[in-house]
Amino acid sequence: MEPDDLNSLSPDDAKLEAWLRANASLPRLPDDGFSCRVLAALPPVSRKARVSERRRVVLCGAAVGVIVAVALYFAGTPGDFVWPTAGPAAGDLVAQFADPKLPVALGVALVTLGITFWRQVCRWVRI
Amino acid sequence: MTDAELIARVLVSDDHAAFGELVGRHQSAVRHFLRHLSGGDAALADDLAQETFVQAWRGIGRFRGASSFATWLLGIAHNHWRNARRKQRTVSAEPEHLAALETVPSQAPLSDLRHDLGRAMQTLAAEEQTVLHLNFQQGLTHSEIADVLQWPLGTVKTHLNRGKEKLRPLLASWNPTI
Repeated sequence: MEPDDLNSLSPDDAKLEAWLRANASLPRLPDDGFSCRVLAALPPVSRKARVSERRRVVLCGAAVGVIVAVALYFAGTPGDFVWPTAGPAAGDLVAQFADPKLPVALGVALVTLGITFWRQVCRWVRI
Repeated sequence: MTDAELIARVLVSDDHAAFGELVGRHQSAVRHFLRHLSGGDAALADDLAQETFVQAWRGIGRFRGASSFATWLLGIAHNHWRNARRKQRTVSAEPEHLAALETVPSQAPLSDLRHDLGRAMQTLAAEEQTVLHLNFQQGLTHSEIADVLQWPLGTVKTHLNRGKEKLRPLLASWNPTI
């Protein structure tokens, strides 16, 4: 038969609980190399870390790109920068690259992509 | 450094050293619990404890801090033990884990009191033993025990009360006032 109120402790219960707490507690088990065994069994660094590393690099690249774009915007007058259009003569495209701003922007983009996907590039090269 | 700080390090940078510190802090509780569940089989308990910590490493991102880290680990340990027991049952009809208590030689001589307490505990139902172990030997609260075992709080309290009532006469010779 259960007591009506499972939350309440009779004086006898309180004594028994106190006695059990005092006498039943377990001594701490010595490690005896258990922690080392666990660490040796852990899987290698998860993809999670690599992904977050990649995310950081992409964010840094994006931040640099934004800074460069803003700097270029404020450095020149609006209209200075003309986007290359498809179809015009090759001479026009070469003229676009004569402006140092475009190669700088492309360079930043390429370096960012290179750093971000360095592992994949290495893998492709090996294949 | 607190458990929360160590967990943050593991989450941010897969810090093995921080996880090693967490293992060192909690190995005793987890191994004691699994030894209790496996009827004193230290080798089996340690294998399960290792799996418990590896599982914790993999799933530490799911630890939300709603309970203590120790409680979360004990919950994983309990699940591992249940899975192991299920597999064992499909291989052979092993006797209930409590029966194994008598056959496992103790590694150190027990005091008379501990010996009597152990014998008295063996007379209880498995659920009562587990609840008493977590409450009095590991120091968990009723709600923490409910979290670990995934039982309703009322069930935990019922088993606890039944266990105590059964223990009372068996331990009276040690302390007549109880």
